[in-house]
Amino acid sequence: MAITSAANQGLEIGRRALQAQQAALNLTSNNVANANTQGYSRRRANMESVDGGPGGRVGNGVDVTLIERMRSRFLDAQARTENQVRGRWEELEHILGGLESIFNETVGAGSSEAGTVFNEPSGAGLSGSLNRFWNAWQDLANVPESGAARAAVRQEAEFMANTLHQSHQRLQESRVQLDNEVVGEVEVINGILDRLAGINAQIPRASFGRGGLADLEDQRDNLLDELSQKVDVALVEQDNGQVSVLMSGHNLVAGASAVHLVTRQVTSGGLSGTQVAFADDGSVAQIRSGRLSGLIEARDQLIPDLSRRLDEVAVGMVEQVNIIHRAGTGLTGSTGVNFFDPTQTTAANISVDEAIRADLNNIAASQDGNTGDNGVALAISGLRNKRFMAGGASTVEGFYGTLLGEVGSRSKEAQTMAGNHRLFSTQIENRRLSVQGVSLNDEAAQLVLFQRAYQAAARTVSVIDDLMETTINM
Amino acid sequence: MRVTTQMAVDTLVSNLDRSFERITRYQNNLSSGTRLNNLSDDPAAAQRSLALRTELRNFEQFRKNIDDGAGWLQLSEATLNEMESLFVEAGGLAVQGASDTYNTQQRQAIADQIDQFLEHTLNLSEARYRGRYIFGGTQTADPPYEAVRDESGTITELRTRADTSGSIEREVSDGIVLQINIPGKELFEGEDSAFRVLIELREALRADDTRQVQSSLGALSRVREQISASRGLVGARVNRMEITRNLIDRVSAEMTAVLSADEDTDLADTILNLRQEQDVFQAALSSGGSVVPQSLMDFIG
Repeated sequence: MAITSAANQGLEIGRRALQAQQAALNLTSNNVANANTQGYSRRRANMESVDGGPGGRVGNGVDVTLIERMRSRFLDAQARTENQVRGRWEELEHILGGLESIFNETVGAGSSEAGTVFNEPSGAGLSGSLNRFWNAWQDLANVPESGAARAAVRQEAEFMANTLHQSHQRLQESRVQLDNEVVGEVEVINGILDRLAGINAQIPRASFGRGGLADLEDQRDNLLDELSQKVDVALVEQDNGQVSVLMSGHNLVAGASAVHLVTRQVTSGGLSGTQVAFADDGSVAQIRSGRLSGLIEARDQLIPDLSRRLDEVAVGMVEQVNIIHRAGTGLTGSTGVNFFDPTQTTAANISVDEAIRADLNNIAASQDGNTGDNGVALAISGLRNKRFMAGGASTVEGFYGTLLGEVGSRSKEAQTMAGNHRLFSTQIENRRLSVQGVSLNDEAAQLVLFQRAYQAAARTVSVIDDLMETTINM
Repeated sequence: MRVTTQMAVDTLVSNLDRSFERITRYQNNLSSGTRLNNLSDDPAAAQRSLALRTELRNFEQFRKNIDDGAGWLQLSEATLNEMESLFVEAGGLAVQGASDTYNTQQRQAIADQIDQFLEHTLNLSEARYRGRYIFGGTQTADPPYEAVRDESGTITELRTRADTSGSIEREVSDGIVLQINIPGKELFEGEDSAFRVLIELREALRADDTRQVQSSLGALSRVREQISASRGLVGARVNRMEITRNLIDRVSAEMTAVLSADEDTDLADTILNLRQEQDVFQAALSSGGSVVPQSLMDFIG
């Protein structure tokens, strides 16, 4: 009786050992299989020796008590904070890169090309067309009696107006594009919130069984990583394993329910745009970080600011040129004529006055009324040196140059910041991977270890089997 | 730190990316010939380059203005030259006409010559530069003076069609304007005007009035002085234009050099950087290729 009981115990230990090593081997196999899976956390079997019971000196073998998911909460939190900052800068980098291309002009045409640029007056940008507008007036001043020089003045004026229209247009298009992206982002965010709530719903149940929880947690961590790139969220882990998601103190996910973000069209200060609000109480969501904040910032501040400054250029040009032009006399004696349409004073609609479009002779070059006088033409061309922009602080070309410089340096800033934060992110990600990532070397070693243990356990079983056979045949 | 397979791959990939980005940038700088392909490449230099370009385009315009103004001035100079010699000759004739050794017939002959001078002076007053009357002030479209003739076709009086005192200017460099015309009023109108003095001399000769001829000598020399003064003025302005033009040429050459320093790719530097970066890239590729696929798996059976 005692012998068979001891043998049975040995078999039982062997069985448990085989089971445990098999489980560990399966886990290793799963780790290897997921070596390249994004966001997979490697798992380790925690084995414990089983208590031999009262008085039992020999233990009762081994048991896998816990499948441990290797993860650092601290690094996760760090990575997500970094994600929010990086998301914003990357978005701004992307947007500013696009805006920059609107303003790129002869900059960097290369001085080797300078000759062609100057002789054949190209210079497609606004700065070039302003310059050529002033110079067309100089040409007219050289031949104030000429119809051809007048045609050139009108053509350059229209070209400059068109350049302003186009810049304005492209800014508006970018703005609409960004607005659409806001709506798209909100939809994606809502999708993530729903899935997080769904995972929360499963968590308490899953924790009773083993194994399923780790996969759910991986899924959840992936979703949270993704979410943190888009908006600034705070996470609170509850005792039951559920995670609550908050944004500026407002619950987005609590338990198994998600509060969606909604978008609504609002117009303020003449600008329409999509506002993001909480679905439950309708209050406006303050988004301070992440990709969505970059989108909203560019849409509500960056682009309107650029637009406004282009408008200032238009207003300045219309007013200043008209004042001088009205005081002059055209080729056929017309006086008091506006050069630009005084009712159209934005970058979107600046245009040459109807009278000028109808008859080139209405372009005034003369101050004293005689056709040979070029006083007005010289005065208008002299406006290029007049500081009538920014409250008398800069010339129109200076003003525009500053604007370009700002677009350039903001874009550069965004590129640098995005680059830096990408680097930080990579460093944190590396540290995370150091904890949670699968190392094939590790797994290979584990494989050998568990394989040998399995073989040895199998060997003990067969030895005990031999023993029992010997006993039975005694 | 525990290094996992994915970390090694991620790090390799991100390093390759960064290195390749730099290679592309150098390549771009080399193929476009400029290091300013975007505003953000160097915002300060881009802003500077834009201002310089504007400045250079203005210089180009000033050159055009100067060329045009200089043409106008040169024509004025030539015309005034001819007028001056005409009046020197008229002075000689007047001296002869005032002399008692000449008889009435001879004085009539001199008067005919003076009449020709008058006609010629009228022609000169109608000098045109590219279709514009240069002595008409800002009234450039029509001849400034209209001759009143008697039945025989002799000029008895010259009338001004309009105010000929207007000044015409050219901007020769930033904010600096130069007057390029000699207003007809200074030469052809008033007490001691070219027309009037010639008509008086002719009439005195016709009337055989030697005293009157004698007294017109003073007026003739005053006209000549006036012409000479105007010519001096024109010469000074031509000079000033030339000096300005030289200055503009020199400054724009310097500006082009500055622009080139800001915009152009430093070939030697960039090619060197490109070579270095290519070496780094190659090394990363080959070491990555040999290290990443290896693991313990390769050595256990």
